[in-house]
Amino acid sequence: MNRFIQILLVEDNPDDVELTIHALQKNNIANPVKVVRDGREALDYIFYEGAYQDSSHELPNLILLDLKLPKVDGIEVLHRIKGDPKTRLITVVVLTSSREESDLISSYNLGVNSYIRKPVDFDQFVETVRQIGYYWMLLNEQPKIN
Amino acid sequence: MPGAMKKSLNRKILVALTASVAAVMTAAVYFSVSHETREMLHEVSMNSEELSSAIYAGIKYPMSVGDSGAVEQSLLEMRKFLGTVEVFICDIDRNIRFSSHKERIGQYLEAHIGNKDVINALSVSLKSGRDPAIQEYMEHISGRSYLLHMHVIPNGETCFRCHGRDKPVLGAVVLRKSIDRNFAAIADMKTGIIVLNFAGVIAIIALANTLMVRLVTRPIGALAGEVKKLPEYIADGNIVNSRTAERRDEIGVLQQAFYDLAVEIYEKNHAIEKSNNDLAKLNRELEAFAYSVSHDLRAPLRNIDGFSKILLDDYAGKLDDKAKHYLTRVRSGTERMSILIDDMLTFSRIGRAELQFKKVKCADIIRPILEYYSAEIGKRGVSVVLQELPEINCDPVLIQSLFSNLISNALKYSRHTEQAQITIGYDSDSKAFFVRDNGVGFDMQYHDKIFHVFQRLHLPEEYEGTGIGLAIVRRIAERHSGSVWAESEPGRGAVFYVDLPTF
Repeated sequence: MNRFIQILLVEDNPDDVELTIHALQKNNIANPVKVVRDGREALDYIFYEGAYQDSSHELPNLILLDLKLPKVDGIEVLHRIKGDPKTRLITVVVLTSSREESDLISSYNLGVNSYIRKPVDFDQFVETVRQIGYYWMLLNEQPKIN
Repeated sequence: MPGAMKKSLNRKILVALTASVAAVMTAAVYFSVSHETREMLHEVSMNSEELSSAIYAGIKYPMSVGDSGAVEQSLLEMRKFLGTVEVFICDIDRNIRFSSHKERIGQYLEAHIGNKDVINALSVSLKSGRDPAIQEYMEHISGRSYLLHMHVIPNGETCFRCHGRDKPVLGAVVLRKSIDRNFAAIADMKTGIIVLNFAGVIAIIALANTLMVRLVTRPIGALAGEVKKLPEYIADGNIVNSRTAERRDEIGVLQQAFYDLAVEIYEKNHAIEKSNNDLAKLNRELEAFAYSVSHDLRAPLRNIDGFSKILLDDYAGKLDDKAKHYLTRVRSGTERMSILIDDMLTFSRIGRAELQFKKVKCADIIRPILEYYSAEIGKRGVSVVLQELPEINCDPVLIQSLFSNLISNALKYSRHTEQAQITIGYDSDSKAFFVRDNGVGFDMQYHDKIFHVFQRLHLPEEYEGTGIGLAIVRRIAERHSGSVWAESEPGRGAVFYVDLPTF
């Protein structure tokens, strides 16, 4: 795995945060993971605003984005990321419980790279996370973000 | 079509009125004319009788002295005054002895009077000596009408000298009088009556028509115009709410009833609209609920499963077998609940999804399903027969889900059958598609129950499932204006029928 690839996990549910990190570790993905808990914080982190305006962090290469988030919802976050030339090359994978067709369609319209519905079965979830890591961080070539 | 109706109603009433007035008038004309004719005849006959008596009185003396010349003379003179009246005096043999027309003397009466009844009646009278029962007769000669009057001449004291005492009568006086002028007068009167009646009929009909237009047709037309505005009144009840009928007759009552009806419909419509809005709101809330069920219920389930799995994997050494067993039970519980949530969402989605109708070959829909289950079919050696199926007009995605449910049920409930057989076909008698299996079947007393949500006939450890499959089948069929039913017997398999719009 490319150790320099930053992962941003946007997830409000602490259990899901813990399980996602567990699944990443299970798949030997040891890349640094930054966790933000709502849409506002995600935007602040990505655009160096609010609490992060003086931060010197590098932009993530992969964002795992939940859609149902407090303050600013995931679709809006996606809209901002893909609408800004500085950030639109970041790979965004929507990782959600939502089964709504409308969420799927608006995500793809906004230029999401993948849309994955979180399976209830944890074995399947681990497998899904493995495939995300394998594809987006190992196989896929992408331009340099920072 | 108020215009056409107005004409027709008016015409019908006028025709009926004309017919009845004309009938009454005709009867009146007929009776008055026949009465007048009778009166005229009576008068003429009275005249004739007087005349006859006068003539007799005039000739009685000359005859009694045997002065035939004087008789003849007096009759000839009479002719000048009487004009059209002819006088015949005959003997008992009906031989004309005297006449206003000299040339007829010596001839028989029969030669001049054509009416046989007169001659017969006269013969009888001349024998009996009494005047005939009927003294007046009509006669028509070359288009002219005459009235005949006869009167016998009795044998009297003054006559015995010449005629002796034996004969009761000596002869008869017969008068013939033209009555054409009287008839002409009656005809004139008849024409007058008819013309007057005709004018009367026209006046009555014109009056009736005017009244009818004013009292019936026009108000009905106006009311029809109001009725046409019903959609307008229903759309806004305030237009008619305060309106009252102007008239106080039956049409006014009708008009008022119409206004009341319009207001009632408006109010009911309003109520329906409101409840529709409420329902739509409720439906939106339900959709939001379904979304939230999808998201919010799945998240904790996922977490339960995830942490149980981590316990089983990473803490295996610290757990005894019983603990591991319980954790496995926890995980299978979350799996069942996950399927249940998905099925519930599918079921609710079928209820509100917009159907995309397409004409499809039914077999094209079913083959991919059989493909999907091919591994199980092959492994168990199930014999599957796909018969010839008609084309249907349907939403292919939903119909595939319908058949998929029926076929997976057939596979599931024939699991313990030694040689499982599944037939998919079309029954042209009941016009329905069917899926038949030779599995466990069910008792028909539960027939209606199985098509309802969460209704199951088996324990979960016998046959897994959420109890939503057949409810989904029913809902899809109903959304295609179709229906679903089944025939079964415990242990002898089941047939599920679905009638769908075919071509």
